[in-house]
Amino acid sequence: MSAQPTSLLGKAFAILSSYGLAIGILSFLLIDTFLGTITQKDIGLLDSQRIYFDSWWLIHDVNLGGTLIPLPLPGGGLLMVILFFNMLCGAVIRMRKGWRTIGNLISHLAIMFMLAAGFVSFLYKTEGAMPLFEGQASDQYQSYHERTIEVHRYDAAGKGDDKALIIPMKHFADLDPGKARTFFAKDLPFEIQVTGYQRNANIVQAEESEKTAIDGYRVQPVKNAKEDEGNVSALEITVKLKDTPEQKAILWERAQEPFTVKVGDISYAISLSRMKWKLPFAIRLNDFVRELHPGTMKAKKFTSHVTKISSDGKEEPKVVTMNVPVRDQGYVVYQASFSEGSSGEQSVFTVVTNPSDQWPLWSCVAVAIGLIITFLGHLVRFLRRPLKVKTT
Amino acid sequence: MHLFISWLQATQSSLLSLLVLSLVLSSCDRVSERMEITQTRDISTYEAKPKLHAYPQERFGDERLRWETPAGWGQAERSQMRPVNLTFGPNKEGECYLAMLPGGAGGVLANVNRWRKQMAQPEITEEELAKLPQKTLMGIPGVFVTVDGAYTNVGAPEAKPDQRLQGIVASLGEAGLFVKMVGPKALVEANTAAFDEFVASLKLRTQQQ
Amino acid sequence: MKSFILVLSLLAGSLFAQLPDPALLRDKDIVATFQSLPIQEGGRIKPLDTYARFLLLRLHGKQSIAVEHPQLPNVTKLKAIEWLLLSWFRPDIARDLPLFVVDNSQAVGEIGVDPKSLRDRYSWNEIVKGKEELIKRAQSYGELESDQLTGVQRNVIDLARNFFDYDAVSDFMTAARTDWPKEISTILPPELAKDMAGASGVWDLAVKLGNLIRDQEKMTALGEEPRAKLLELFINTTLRPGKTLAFIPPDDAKNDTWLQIEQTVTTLMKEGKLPESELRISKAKDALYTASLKAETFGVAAKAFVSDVRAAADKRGELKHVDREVSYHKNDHFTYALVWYLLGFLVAFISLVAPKTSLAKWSARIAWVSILLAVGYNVWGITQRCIINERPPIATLYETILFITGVVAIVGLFIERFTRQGIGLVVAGFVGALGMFAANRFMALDARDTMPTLEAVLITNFWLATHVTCINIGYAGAMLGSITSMVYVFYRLFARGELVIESRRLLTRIVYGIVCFGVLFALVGTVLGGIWANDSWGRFWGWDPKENGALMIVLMGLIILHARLGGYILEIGLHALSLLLGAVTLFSWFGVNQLGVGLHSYGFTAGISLALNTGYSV
Repeated sequence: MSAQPTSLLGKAFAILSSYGLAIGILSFLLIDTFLGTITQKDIGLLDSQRIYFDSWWLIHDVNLGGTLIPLPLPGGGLLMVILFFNMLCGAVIRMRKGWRTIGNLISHLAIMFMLAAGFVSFLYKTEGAMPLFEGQASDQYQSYHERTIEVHRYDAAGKGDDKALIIPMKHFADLDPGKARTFFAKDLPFEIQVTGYQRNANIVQAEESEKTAIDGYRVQPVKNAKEDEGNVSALEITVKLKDTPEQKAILWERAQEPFTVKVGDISYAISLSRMKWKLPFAIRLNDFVRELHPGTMKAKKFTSHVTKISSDGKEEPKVVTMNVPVRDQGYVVYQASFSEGSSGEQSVFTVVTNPSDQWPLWSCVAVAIGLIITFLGHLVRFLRRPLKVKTT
Repeated sequence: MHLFISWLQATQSSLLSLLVLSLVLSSCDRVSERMEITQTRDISTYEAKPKLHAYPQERFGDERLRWETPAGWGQAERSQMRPVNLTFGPNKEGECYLAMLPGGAGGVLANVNRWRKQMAQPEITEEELAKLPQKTLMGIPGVFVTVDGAYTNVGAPEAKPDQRLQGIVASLGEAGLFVKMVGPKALVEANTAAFDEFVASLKLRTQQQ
Repeated sequence: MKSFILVLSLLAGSLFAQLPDPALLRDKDIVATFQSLPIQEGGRIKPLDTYARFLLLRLHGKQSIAVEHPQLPNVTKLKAIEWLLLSWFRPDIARDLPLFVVDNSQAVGEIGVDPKSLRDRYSWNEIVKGKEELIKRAQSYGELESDQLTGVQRNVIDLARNFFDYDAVSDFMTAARTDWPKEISTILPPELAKDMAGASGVWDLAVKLGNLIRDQEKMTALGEEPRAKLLELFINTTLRPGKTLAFIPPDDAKNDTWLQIEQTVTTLMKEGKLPESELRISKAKDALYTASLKAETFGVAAKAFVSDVRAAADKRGELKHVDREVSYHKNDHFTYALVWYLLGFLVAFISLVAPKTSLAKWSARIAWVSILLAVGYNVWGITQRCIINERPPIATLYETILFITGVVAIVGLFIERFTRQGIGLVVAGFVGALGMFAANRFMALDARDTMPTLEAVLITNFWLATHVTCINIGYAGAMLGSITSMVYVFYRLFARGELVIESRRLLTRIVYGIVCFGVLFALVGTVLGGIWANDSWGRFWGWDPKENGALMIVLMGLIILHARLGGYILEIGLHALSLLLGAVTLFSWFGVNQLGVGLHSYGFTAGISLALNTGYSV
């Protein structure tokens, strides 16, 4: 291995497996982490995560005495991908295998496994909220961030289809006012043109003279909330049905009812809402208990006594409390928070499904073992050496 | 050893191509100006059924008025003048709506006489007005008017015979609040109970949410 | 004229003859008795001593108060509990003492009180002159957003809060001092007042007044003004002071909220009755005052009162750690630790500057003993806290300082054991003294009980024991490495000679070893934190500031290890990066909390820039 690699691939491998690359990546990751942490004060967690950590590259504006200097940086996503291959080449393929390096090998493999877990959860994890009043049951949870446009068909008798068509957020979130995109589906007798997406907006009554008003209303953009959960998005649609005039409507996340298009006897309800996922079982909240530290308003414990209702109707009592979620059929139900309204206490659960849920746990054990082996080896050698110096 | 090196090279090249691939993949998911909707989601049986054909006011929670539409009645298009606009009868020949005039309504007597004129009936006096029965509309006291006759709607070319108009005229200072129900006499008579039910259900929603 | 003289002499009598002797309030036995009275505050049962300490710390900036008062001859200093008893039983003296600390004297000037110098102290009697203005200003500033407030405005708000809190505390015994029949007769018409006759104290009166209040007719007949006066009298003498302390264990074993006088008295008025034990303890509080007028009765009454409450608490299983907490605060382990650490550091320093002499040998031995003692105090203090709180050592920022200091000192001793160069001793002594000092300052600035109840999500001994402990050992490793690198910088700048080169080489190896140690714990601790987060919120990693802080330490540590392995850094590079690691650690330890902690991070921010500057200067 000591010979200088001559082929292009060999050179690339040498770079990819080098300490220099590792240091470079770790340093950039450190910078990204630092910047991504301090910018959270201004732009909130979700945006800083997207810009600094889920990205391939980014531009950070450095404030130098009042003037902003754009500084291009590799994004966290790119760095972690390279780091993975750097470890694969440097610490797994190239490293001399032996008892002295076994600890290193284990810990690097474990970290790679952890990165893989992160990648898997980035791709496949779904996470959402399920708010329930006491006595209420549900089998679905809705995303904190992902919005969708939904089209749900109802027949003449008012019975809805089992499935609704959905347009995911990535297909319309870029449609600023002035940009439009038309959506169609083979079961749909009309096309929907979407435009004017606003991440956070109010619906206000328009002046009579306003040309752009729709049904006497217009979308009023509002400054983005610090945390994305607080944003209420809105957009405008134009429904194009053959041989009939176009119908315009405003869709709003907080709208109480959908916009309805009628084609013959069939009604289509169109709405903008948070992405919803269905669980293979339902949960009914029986009792929500909030314990406080005596004489204060400080929470001591939130506990929800729930019933899990399987698809075959079988019922089973469960208890969800802080730090102790319920894991079932690949789903995890957490006690997230609660709200107290005029209609009683509402317990809010977070529901998560993540194929790599437990991978970090295994990885952690392996990392610890690997590092302990390595550093104990170092320590033993360290302790031996001064003695040698003294005896010679 | 030779085997090892060739394995190594193979791994290297596959790794590189993987890396290149992952970079390419990220940028190929472009959006075109026309797109097919391909995704669906299952509707949960626990999901509340939305109200179809809701008015924009209802959809955007801008509904200052709340009411119950009596069974068998339908809804007609609403306007600034008629925030509640209902129809009844087998062929929707009867109408019943709420109207509000913020100012300049001209007082109770003028409005009652305006209605009487629409029904081709003579005007009444202040004393006669005082004898009319009382009814409250959304908590505001008003007079209950019943007029039979031939009805000429505003802007209608000719009068419809054998009609009945019944309604409440309530006023609060300069503002006027009206519920007016017009239709064939027998039909209106048959729907008087529904009218009372509708009037009782009318409520102004407190500004919340 | 005759009657006037009579009134005057009565007044004089009540002023001079009928007040408790202040010397009695410092009586050893009486103080010890009151110290161990269990009370409930901030959601937990604690001794009155703790309450007094942190109340005085908040108002005064110290846990004792220096005094100079004609009524307190030969007394120069009062302990917190003595000051509290004086405030209860002799508010006339206590209100003269320079109590309220005000950072900016301009705040005092704003309310029309003569300002003294910066960070000076003012008595209740001084501030009360500007009371009206204080209320007005504090209210108007209170409406502003907290981040828009100037320092002076903040001082005014704090002063108002402190003043009225103390005002109520100093009225704690006022109900017992009040001549109720007289006060009532000036408010109620004669025939109603007659009904109240025979009611000597507030408790008899409350029952009778309760009947009156429930009688709608009589209340209406009474009219607006007497009703308002009656309410005012009750608020000032009983309800407001009664809200300051929850010392009545509820009769109902299922109810975990202890009662205050305000609650027992209103219940008695509303319902006409009270569980026997609650009424007994409520009444005993007022009886204490009467007893305090005579030396021979006070001790007995105090003992009886405190042991009554203690027995009730014990029955509820809530007395367990009260005495331990009294002795924890009394023994003040961390101040002793500070002294011994400092001594150890100074002595060890001598052995470092004069190596290979008999002086060095002896001073190293002394330093060993001294630092071992300090570590003993440090660890013993932490252990006491664990027992009192019934949880692992770290759950608050204050506790991280105690713990990390201890870990650094212990690891420093281990290094010394194997290297025998005096370096480990110097570092252990230095970090120990610095840490104990910082802990003390932090407590004074925070001025809140250092053993608070925890937020719901933190109440899990498993994760506190694993993740929190691990990550703090990681912090300790990083800090120790950084301090050791500072020693290296010191050598580099000031020391010359053969031996020094060897020492420098040794320092380099030590730092590398410590960084390895730190990375191990920081990495495992961080991942454990992720696993905890995955179990409590459903996500392993959320890029939240505290998580990022931990990650940055790990990344920095890994950069050092790989740069060293790759041969990119030798001695100087390693130490420079190690100093940077210290800065990163300080950032994630205190920096990310800056918003929550506010001013407290100031001192540490200076530390960061110091460390950074040192790093750059190498």
